[in-house]
Amino acid sequence: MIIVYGSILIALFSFIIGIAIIISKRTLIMILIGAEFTLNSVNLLFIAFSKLHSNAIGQIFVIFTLTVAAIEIAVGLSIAVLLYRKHKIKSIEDLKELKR
Amino acid sequence: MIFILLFPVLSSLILILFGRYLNKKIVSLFSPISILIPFIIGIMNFDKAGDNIIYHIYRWISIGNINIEFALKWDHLSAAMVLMVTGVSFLIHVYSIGYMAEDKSYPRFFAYMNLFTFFMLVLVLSSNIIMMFVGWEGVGLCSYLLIGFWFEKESAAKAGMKAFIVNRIGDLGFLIGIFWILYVVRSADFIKINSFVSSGLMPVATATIIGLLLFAGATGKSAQIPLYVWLPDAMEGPTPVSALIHAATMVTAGVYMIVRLNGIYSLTPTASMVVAVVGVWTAFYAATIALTQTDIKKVLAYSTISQIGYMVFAAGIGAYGAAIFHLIMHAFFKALLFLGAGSVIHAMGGIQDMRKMGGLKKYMPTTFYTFLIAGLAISGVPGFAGFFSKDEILANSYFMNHRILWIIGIMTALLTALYIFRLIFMTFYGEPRMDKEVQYHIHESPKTMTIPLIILAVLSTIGGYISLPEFISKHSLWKSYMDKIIVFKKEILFTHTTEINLTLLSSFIAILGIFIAWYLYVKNTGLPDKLSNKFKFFHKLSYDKYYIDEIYEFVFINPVVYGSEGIYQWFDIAVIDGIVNGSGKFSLYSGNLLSYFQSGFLKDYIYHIITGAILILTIFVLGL
Amino acid sequence: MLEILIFAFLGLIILTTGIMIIVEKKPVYNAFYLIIALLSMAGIYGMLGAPFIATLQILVYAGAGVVLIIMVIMFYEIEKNSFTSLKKWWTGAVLLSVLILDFVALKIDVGFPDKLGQTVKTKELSMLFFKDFIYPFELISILILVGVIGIFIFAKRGKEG
Repeated sequence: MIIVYGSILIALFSFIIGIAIIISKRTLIMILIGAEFTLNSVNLLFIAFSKLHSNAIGQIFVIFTLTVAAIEIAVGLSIAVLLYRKHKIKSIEDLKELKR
Repeated sequence: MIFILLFPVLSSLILILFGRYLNKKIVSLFSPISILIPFIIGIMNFDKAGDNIIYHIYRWISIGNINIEFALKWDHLSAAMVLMVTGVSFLIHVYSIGYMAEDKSYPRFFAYMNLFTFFMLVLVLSSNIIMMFVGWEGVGLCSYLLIGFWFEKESAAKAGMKAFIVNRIGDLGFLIGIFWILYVVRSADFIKINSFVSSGLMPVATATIIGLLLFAGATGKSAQIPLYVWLPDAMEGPTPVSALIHAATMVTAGVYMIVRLNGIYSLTPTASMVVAVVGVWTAFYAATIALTQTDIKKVLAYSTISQIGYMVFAAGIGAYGAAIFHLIMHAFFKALLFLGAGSVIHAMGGIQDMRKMGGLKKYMPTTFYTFLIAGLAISGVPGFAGFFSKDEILANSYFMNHRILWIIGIMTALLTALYIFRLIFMTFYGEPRMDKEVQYHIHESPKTMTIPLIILAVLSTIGGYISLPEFISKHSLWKSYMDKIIVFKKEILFTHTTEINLTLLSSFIAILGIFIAWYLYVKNTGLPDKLSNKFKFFHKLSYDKYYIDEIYEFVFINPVVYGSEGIYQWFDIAVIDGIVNGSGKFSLYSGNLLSYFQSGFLKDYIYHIITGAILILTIFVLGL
Repeated sequence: MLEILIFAFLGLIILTTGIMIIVEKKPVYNAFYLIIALLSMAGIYGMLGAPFIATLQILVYAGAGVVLIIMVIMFYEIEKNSFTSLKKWWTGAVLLSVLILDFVALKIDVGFPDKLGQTVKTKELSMLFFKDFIYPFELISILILVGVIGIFIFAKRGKEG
């Protein structure tokens, strides 16, 4: 029981930490790392609740999330590489399209 | 049956879209044929009309338990109207090939004419009153487009506008009437309306109000007092338009509507009486104006108003068969008169003033003889179409004991013969009064123009024999034909000796009118001027159309114009502009405020997204 | 008791590595921290009765994903990587407390089960996965295909540029 509630707590903490990583870093790759961290916290939450309700569907969703995360890493990295090779962009502050 | 509607509208669309790329010859072949095909379909299906067939096309509107079908009704009334509309329309299309030959907007003209025919067919074929209103407005639109066909001329554009606006006034009443019917009957279908009425469910007071409201629409469309003022101005359009729309078909839509809803009008003596009085008064009033006009088309315009007055009168006294009979006969001879006038104008190079004509008889014999036949027909000389139809209306009014109306009707008949033969004598007889150069150019019109004239002349001669007076044949073809569509049938006792006397009287009246016209304008040409000088007041009154236009302008138009100006001054500038500017300023400031959040930094966006998501989660949890 | 100690240790590692990722400036170290965090998360998965997911986590994330990240970092020599600022750290604290309060409220309102049920076996999981969730499974495989094609296109574009 303690483990379940503890893992929920850890999931919430690591969620905020992941967001903090995304917000505080400038490099695209670091933002990807933050995203991974956040995704993992959500996975943890899923599994904790799956345990709590002894329901297998939570785990199945984790598998889906894992797959999507893997694709996301691959695509995100390729975009980062492309931006770096074509435009020498490393930092997201160089992406100014959204600025007013 | 749907093909009846399909051909004109398709042809119209093609001409509007691709007309300018088409050869003139193709247009002039294409457009009349698209009218001829519906005519042929109509003839082939004519014998089916007795079965009251409804062709469902699709369900158009469905609100609650009110269903409005897009359906065609093929009964005796609509069959007769379809044949008249398509037949006359076809002849006028053929005529237009010659008349409009030199016009640069040739395809546009035919596109509008086809569109008009389409809407007219929708109007007469509709199985419910809503669809009829679609046709009603559609013909109004085409009328506007065609009056303003030569929109470079300011007067034409203004006349189109006037027709449209005056019709709006009447249509307001018509629309309210439709809504009232929907509210009371819970259906727009003519069959349902008539069965509702004939089963006695409709209170007489309701029927009176509905009848009067619908008649308001009819006064607009059919140019009755007080909304007739647009029709004389509508003569700015090309003459075939005047012949088709403003004489033969569209302006008779009001009469058609009254006959179509004869159940309602039969139920209410008050509304019917109003209809009859307005009709006969319009007939007389317009005839007095027609007496003094000098523009050949204006005379015919007032003559049209007068003749529609007859029809409305007939519909008002309950002689629905006679009304439709006169409608169709009038379509023949009035189209013929207009086309003849068009032929004259064409020959004169655009001159419409009769004082500059005269002696045209020897230059254009075909036009003259056909015009003469039409003149005889409209005056009611025995043997011609107008004689039978007008006589039937007058006989009906006499035997239904509307004696005062009957007397006015008889007087109008005299005036009709007088003004139409004044027109004929001024135009075709006497010494030519035009310039030498114009006289040199006068020529008979081309074949495409004269052949429709001849066909129409034949029709206005023999058309009347479908409804012989009762003392000649006991069961007239037309009466038994029309009986099917009348909801409340009433037997009127015709005493034969009286009827014969009446017929003799009206024949005498017609010939008297012609004689007076001959005496004044051929025999003793100086007399009209003397007379007009002697009765200067009346002449001026009639010549200036009783100043109705000026009165309307003073009473209705000026208050609206100045009132609008006043409203513009305070309401528009202060309130509307204030609201508009205020909303602009509001979005400016709120945008400035919001743009704080739009920093352009990705991290800020993520931060806002996450905050929002957590906020939503909180709301969700707390709301649980 | 030992279980709880191990759990607390793993949780502490996750939080510490997370904070280290924020503070540390060298990308390669960050990636290594991520690996450690992911591994300890896999440990927690295992303790929560999901050994299959734990294995997947190690294989897919720690094994493949982060290795890819490290590779890219090394190839393109992304060395310096300062974080912008942590001035707004208190907003994170506020958000976190709100989140925790949400969950507390959920527990009070809805009420979670008091006793833990049966742990889901991997066999049951796979039965469920290939019976009831077969269509999402196929769809996710199509997603992978799309991703692969997308990466190919990006790679080609990069070459041309």
